[in-house]
Amino acid sequence: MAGVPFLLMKGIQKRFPGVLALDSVDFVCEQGEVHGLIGENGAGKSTLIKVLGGVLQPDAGEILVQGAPVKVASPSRAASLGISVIHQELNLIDDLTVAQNIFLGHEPRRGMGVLDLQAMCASARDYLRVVGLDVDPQAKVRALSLEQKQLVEIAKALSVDARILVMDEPTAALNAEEVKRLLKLIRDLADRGCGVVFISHRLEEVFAVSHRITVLRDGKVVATRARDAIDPETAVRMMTGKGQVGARVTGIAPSGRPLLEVRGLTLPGAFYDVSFTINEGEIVGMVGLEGQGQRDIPRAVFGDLRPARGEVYLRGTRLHLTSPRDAIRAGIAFVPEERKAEGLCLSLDVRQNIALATLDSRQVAGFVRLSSEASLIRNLVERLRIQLASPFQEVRNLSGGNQQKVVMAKWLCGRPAVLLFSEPTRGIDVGAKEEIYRLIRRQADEGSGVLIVSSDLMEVLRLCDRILVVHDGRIVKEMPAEGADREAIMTAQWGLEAAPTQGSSTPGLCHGGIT
Amino acid sequence: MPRKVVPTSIRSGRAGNAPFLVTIAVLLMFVAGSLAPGFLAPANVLNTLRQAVPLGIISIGQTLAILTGGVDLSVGAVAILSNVLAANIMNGEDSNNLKAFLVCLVVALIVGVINGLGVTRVGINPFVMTLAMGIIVHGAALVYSKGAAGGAASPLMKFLGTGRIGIVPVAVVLWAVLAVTTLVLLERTVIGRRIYAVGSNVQTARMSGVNTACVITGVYAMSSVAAMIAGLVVTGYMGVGTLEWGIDYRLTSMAAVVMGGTAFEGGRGGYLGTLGSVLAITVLNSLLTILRISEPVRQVFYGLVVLFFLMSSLRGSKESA
Repeated sequence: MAGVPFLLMKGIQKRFPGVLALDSVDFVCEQGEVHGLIGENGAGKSTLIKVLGGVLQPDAGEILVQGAPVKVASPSRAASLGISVIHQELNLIDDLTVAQNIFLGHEPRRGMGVLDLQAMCASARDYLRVVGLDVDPQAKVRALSLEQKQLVEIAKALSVDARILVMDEPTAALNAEEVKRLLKLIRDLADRGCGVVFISHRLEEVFAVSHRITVLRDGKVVATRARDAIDPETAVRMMTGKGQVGARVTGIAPSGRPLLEVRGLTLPGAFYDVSFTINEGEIVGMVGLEGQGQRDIPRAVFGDLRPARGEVYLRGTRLHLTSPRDAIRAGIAFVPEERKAEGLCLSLDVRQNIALATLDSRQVAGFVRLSSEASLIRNLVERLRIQLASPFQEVRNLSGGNQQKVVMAKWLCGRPAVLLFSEPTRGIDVGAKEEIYRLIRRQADEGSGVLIVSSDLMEVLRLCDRILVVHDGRIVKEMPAEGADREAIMTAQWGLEAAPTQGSSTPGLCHGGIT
Repeated sequence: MPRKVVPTSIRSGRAGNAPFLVTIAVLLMFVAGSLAPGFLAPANVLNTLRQAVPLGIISIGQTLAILTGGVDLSVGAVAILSNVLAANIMNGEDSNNLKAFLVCLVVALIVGVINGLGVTRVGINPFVMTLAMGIIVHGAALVYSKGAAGGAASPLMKFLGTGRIGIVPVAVVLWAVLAVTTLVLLERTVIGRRIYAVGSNVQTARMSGVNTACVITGVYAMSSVAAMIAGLVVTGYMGVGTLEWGIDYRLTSMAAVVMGGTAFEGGRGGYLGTLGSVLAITVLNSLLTILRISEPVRQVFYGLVVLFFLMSSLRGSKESA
């Protein structure tokens, strides 16, 4: 690898409101190399990929391809430079054929704009052979399996002569056998002279396939090492943040009386055999890397997803949940991660949003008791310190923090026994964050049980009483939050704990590797 | 805290374009009055109002449907079918009133519920679902009447269509009662709140415990019933069952609702705006008649007005987005 590297990213900086997502990041990828990129949630992996793929523009720094500075202004510019990004959500059109997808936007022509269908099929076949996919180029993509679709994506990248192939979590939805084949193909592509940037939340895969590994933490590169010069334990240590955990948000100690019990909850493809208990007055945090199924667990408890197996008990009584309505009636509330999509009616006013979930409790013969509603809302606005001009203000005009408080107020109307949160402070400024922590703690002090699914480890460490770590759809570790060892949490998140994982693990790859 | 009850429709901005449209209606009336001296006489004003009744009542259901983010294109056909059914069943006798009313009601409810279930359970686009349903219902009206008008309105029905209480037409009184009921339903009741919530964000509504399928189905049922009532009013006015009217109401009602400021994406607006645009459209029509503008030219003019309002409401929603 002498001379000028094929791809060089130098001093890349990217700032989002309130956070420095990338802080002078240097990244190199040679042709013929598989370069693993790892880091915690929010370490900056996807931001870096977006800068490379032309989706985001860096605030500072430069990108050089074969030594020449380039401006990757758009994804199509990236493609013309030989950089192809394959996202986790595949970018294929189901109703077109395999060949049409491969050549979408650069179809072979015969002049006068007429498609050369024969050439298209023939060269599609060539690319499919390279990726080892045996399907008819005329077949509709809809009929393919996920693994096959992924291979079509790779064939598509090859057809535009990709020399750097970025793969973001390509193995997330594949089974062990499919993962093995894909890793083999990645190595083959590298041998043919392609540079591959490989991102995965499964460390054993990264170690099995990569020549070099770069570790990101808090938007900075911690280290770039040859595969043989680093081991998984060291990598986890590097990824673990060193920042101080702020003061814990404490309150009355939980009673120890079980409130919500979840037993053996299973939803194939999302989570397996999940069991946990939340006591009265307790705040339980659930952490995991992106896409490990943890986000679906509160949804199943709330009746939004129907688990295939398992039971939910509230104060010892089994709940039969077929819809959110059932859960709400039983006294369960859920604050979803996307407040605009699922938590709020943006075109309605504050009053209507807050009242929505508990209309039945304040009605006479179908009429809303406006005076009792008004006083209830006044109380909640005061208690939660929601800043607004009037309760008749549309919620779309409120700040993120105040919107989140409106969603909370909606549930506090009904005095829920159990509160489920998914990312309670996503996209909220620091001041409002602290207020929301105190509100959640106060709710627990009043006897509610709280479950918080969060990708912000600091948040969970500060606010929760107990932490559950989810990896690959299973709870792999449980520990008290106070004085919790962050490295232990990270190790469990990355599945390095000797946990009873089955199904999609890749035994044998971790040690032997592919050579 | 002051306990004064300010209509929430005004405070929450649900009046839509009503103030503007009513102003236009009044202005147009004075223009018409200056051209035709008798136009502003109370009797004539009330007469003009009576002409607005079928559109006004049908637009009640259309407002509800569009508020949930849907649309009901079967309203014209339902009005025609109930007109044909009522005239034939009544056959000029008051003793048949109850029977006629119940048959029409049941038929309307069935149509509405099928619309609702098609939209919610089967997941058919409301536009397609209600358009198809409208074609079926219209066909059924033709089959039932064997393609010819027939039957006769009962005396009570005729009173409803043409009678007066004092100088006020009975139909106008009925419309006023239904309009107030609708405004109260939307502003003060649990169902009204849920209609707005479903229209604003159906997923949020579901996650807040609202039975969204039930709300939407209920709205299509109400829409059908409103169209049926309009059909009865027309039965009384015409005196017979007739196939020569009504199918256009599916579009004029939609135009009235959208002109009134109810957004196509749902969750915004209300009946007050619709009321304003029904009045404005009716007065405009009278004015154009006075000016002896031919029907085809009127159509062009009418289309331009709708386009103008749609464009201005689009600009409005972009600004607030």
